[in-house]
Amino acid sequence: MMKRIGTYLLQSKYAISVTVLIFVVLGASLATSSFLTGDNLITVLRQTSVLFILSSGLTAVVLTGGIDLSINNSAALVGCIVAQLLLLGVSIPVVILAGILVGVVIGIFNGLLVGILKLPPFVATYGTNMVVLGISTIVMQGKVIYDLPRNFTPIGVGYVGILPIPVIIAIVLTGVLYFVLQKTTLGRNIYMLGSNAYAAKYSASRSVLDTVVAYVICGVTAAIGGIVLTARLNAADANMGNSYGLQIVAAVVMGGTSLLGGEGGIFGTVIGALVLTIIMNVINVIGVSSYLQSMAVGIVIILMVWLDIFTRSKREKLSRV
Amino acid sequence: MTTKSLGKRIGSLPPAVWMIAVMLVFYGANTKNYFTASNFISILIQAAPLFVVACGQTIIVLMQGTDLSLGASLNMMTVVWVVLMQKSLPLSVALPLAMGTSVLAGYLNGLIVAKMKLPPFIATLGMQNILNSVALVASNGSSVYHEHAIYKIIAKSSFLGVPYILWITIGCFFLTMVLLKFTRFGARVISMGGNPESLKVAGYSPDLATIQAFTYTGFMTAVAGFLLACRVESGNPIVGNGFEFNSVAAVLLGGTSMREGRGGVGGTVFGVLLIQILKNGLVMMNVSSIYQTAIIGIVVLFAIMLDAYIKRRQEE
Repeated sequence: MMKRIGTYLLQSKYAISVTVLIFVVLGASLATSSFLTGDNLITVLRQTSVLFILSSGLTAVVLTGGIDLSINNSAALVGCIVAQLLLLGVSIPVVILAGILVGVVIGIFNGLLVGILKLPPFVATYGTNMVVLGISTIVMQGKVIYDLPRNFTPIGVGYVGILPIPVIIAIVLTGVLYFVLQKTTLGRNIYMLGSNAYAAKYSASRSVLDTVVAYVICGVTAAIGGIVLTARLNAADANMGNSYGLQIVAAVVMGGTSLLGGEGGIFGTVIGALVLTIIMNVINVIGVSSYLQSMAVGIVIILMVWLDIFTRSKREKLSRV
Repeated sequence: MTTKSLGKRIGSLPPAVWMIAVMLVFYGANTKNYFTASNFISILIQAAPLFVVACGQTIIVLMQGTDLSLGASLNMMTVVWVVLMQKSLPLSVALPLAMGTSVLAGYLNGLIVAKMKLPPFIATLGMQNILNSVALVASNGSSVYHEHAIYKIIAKSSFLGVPYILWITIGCFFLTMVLLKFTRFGARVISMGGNPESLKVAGYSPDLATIQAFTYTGFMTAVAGFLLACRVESGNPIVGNGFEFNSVAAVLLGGTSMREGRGGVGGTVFGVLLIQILKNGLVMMNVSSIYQTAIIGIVVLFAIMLDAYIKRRQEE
């Protein structure tokens, strides 16, 4: 029986993530009496959706076998530009479009570094992360902006019915990315890029194009995340992406998308973002120093990547037998 | 020497060398008193911690890895050292303990990469978060101070006309070079980058070489943390941020390749000098600090792009 469960867990795409989620929810409700209250759950959902929006596009990049470490500071840059434009009195739809355009540009840049120059993705995007942080500092001239226009902040704190707007944005993004990744040729190519089945079927130039598109998807969701984050904080600051750095990668990996590429999907990232946010929430509620949150993320990511690599090698042994 | 071989020789120089030349001409023309001994000594002193860290990073890159936890390890080491001295531990106890934390972090990185088989960048990125947590908890999020004579001795005093901080840096350079060129450890590191299969055939454990390399890098980081804390005369939980990327950049710009186990610590000297000369010149030209992060990031990224482009051209 145990062995059957073990085999099932090894073979199913999201089984491990879902198991971890169940344990984390159980643990959280036992550790704090306030976890299962309506208010706290809404808070958790809202925090989850910001983290999820930021990491949703990364799912596509990781599926290609790449990584994007520039998301947190790209989101901050978009937030800073959006805030400055709003202060200049530019209308909200234009501001949002401009923000998303910045995300597209960053995505194209990353995609070209990886696709054409063949730089290792983490080197290229770590470099981009430093550059966009520098640009944010210039945009803000070293200052912080508070108090954005009243009709902008609902993007981060408003509700439609009982659902917070960030949650709705997250749900829409999940649907869109599910469709793109599972139902289109582009999606199939993205999976193939990560599993090395690509070379047999397509030309090198096509693979560059698909790589760039994956990074652009990532840049766009980073931009949307930056806009939502800015609206929620009702402030913009060049360093506002700092605390999200590794959390974004951890959410994707936690959701069972393999860093080796080719395996996983967007629903995993939903679960990953939930698990991670609940862990953060518990750390907050039980009053442990917030400095320890980053340690928790560090440990979680090392363990999850290890689990992924470990189960992959087990599965390969199983399939050989 | 024929002209062709001269041309080839220039072509095979690390890209950092001629970028340094361009920068020296540019800064020399745009600032007063640029070519003075005191300016160049201050460049060398500022470059010392990055160079020592980059010695370790060179070894990791030679093995086709990267260590992104170095900056956080520096943060932790400087904070732990000063906090231990605040608790009135003598220098002879506090310093080895603090250096030990960085060495331990390096050892753990090695274990995670070798035994748990994680890609080095993700293992060390996780470690970066863990070590930053330690630094923040130990310092409570801000700089920590403790008066001690050691700072000035290391950073300001000289022996035979050369500041102590540079003697230690030179020592780290030769130690790393000798390890790479003349020991079995060095041979193993280089063959791991070039041809890991040959290592297994020869009966060596690649795992052991990985753990040794990361531990040695932890030791180099510990030395760099010591130099850095002496220079800023405090422990600071963010002082090392950026060192991880700048050290990778310096190693790549120095001609060490991420692909075939080629290069060495000699080229890294030029990579580090390039980054430091760039920074120093921006200060000399009174460029506002608001613009410095972006300019340094863009130049470093551009240099890496150029390097990758040239290597691709050579391969084709």
